[in-house]
Amino acid sequence: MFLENYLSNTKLLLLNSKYDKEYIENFEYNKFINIYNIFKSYNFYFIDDIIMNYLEIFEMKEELVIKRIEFLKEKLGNNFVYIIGNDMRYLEYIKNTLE
Amino acid sequence: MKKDPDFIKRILNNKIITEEYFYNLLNEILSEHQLSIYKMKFDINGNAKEKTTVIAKKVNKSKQSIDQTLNVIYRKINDYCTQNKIPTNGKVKTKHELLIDSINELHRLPTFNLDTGKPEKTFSDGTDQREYFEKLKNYVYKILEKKKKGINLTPRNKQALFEYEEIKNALKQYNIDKVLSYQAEIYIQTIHKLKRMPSLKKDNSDEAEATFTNGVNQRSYYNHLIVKVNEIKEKQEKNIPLSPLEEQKLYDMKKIKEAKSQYKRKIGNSKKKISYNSLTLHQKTSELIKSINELHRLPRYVRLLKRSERLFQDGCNQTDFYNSLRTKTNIIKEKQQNGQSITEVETERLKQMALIDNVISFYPRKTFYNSLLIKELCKELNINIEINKLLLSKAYGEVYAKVCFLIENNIPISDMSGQINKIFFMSDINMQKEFNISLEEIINKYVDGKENAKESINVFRKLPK
Repeated sequence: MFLENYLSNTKLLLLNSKYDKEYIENFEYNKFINIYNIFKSYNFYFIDDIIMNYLEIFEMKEELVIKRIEFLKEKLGNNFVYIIGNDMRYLEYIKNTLE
Repeated sequence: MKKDPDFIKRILNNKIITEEYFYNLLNEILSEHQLSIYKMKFDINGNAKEKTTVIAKKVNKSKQSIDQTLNVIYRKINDYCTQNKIPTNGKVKTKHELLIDSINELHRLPTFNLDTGKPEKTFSDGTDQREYFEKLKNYVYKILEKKKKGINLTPRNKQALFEYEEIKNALKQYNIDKVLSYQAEIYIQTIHKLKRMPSLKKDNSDEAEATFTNGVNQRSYYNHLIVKVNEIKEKQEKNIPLSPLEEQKLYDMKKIKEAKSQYKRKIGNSKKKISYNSLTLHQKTSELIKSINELHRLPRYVRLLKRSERLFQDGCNQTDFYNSLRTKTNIIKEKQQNGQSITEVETERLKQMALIDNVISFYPRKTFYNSLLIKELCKELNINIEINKLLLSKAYGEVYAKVCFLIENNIPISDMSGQINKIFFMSDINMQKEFNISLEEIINKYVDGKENAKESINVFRKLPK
């Protein structure tokens, strides 16, 4: 499972306790890496926490994720990454209504 | 048009026009350099050949500009011949004049015969008259854009504009203001021939059902046109002025839609179509729901099988259906948000999508056990689940360890309003900054080294009170 490469052992255990085994095992790498790169491009320093808590985001359409990150950026200001890091509930907005 | 180098000589020899008039004409319309090139081309004055070659190299005029100049000469000669009632046997006509003749004959632009694969009208060199018009039109569009930017027009540009205007005036006589692009016209002919839109592929083979003469798939052209038209419409909404080429695309799409709609009406009236669609939608939804109930999730696309893991009775992919329905409903929702009215079919789609979503929500991707444990923990600690619903989406081990950490450090778990401490939603790094402890350390300390966080239910009982 490729997620091993992105999470520490503890976080992987927590992820496994939270999501279905089958869901994690069949996760599409291509989609995942595209979204991962989007977060990276916005300098999110806690992508591992996002994977652990909001894995669903990594199977969303790239354009939608970018659009929603941009919205958060506009709403929260330039320091938006830190603000989201302090309260990851903001990511619910990205996750909301899949696709 | 293939130029006849002897043409001028023949006119001069037959004394159709005088030599004096001819040279006056040249001086009138040609610059000194162009005159030299012209002389060199027809070798009228042999002595000048050497001199003019050097000049020609310096000026480096393209063949096109010579052709253009010739067109002007031909027209001037034609005017002269007409004024002086000198018979020309039609040989002096330029391409655009020949095209105007065809328009006058057909009362429309010449077209392309789909059955024979041949153009309706050709020039003497065998080239398609309509193709010439298309090239001229595209060239004129470029010139108009150039004009908009305030760039000065060259004589050739002005000539092209003049020729285009003449053709347009000829079309106006027959009440043809706007003209379809060549591709759109062929595409519409195909729709009439097939009585429907051509498909991308024929009988699942790689061969396209209908192609243009250059081999391009006609349906691909249409799909490409849709994308372009959407972009143009966005521009229109922002009140950005459109270029003539963009206006042409909008016109093409309008005409294609008109052609398409004719056959919809012939197949069945719209009401019948709605009931047929909704019935299919119903059937597909119920089949998809069956699959969801069996799999406890949506059917996935299996790469090895190159299809969805569940198919409908008609062999269609259930995953594709779900994705397409999801996209359509998103568009409908956007329409609703913009205050636009939605059709009966669209309302039905929304209903069916809501039904599918409802069924999926019974089988969350997150483990049920995880949220059950968190609920138990919240009950024990009097945490208001209604206010803190998002806590249920966390991993139990994490919640449990953080609760232990807060209690041990006498930090309140929730505030007066019942809102839970922000530590539960902090990223690892932010938490380290604020509470000087990492998630790893918290887990190691309080989950007691359990390999599976689910098992920490046993640790739960050790919770400090």
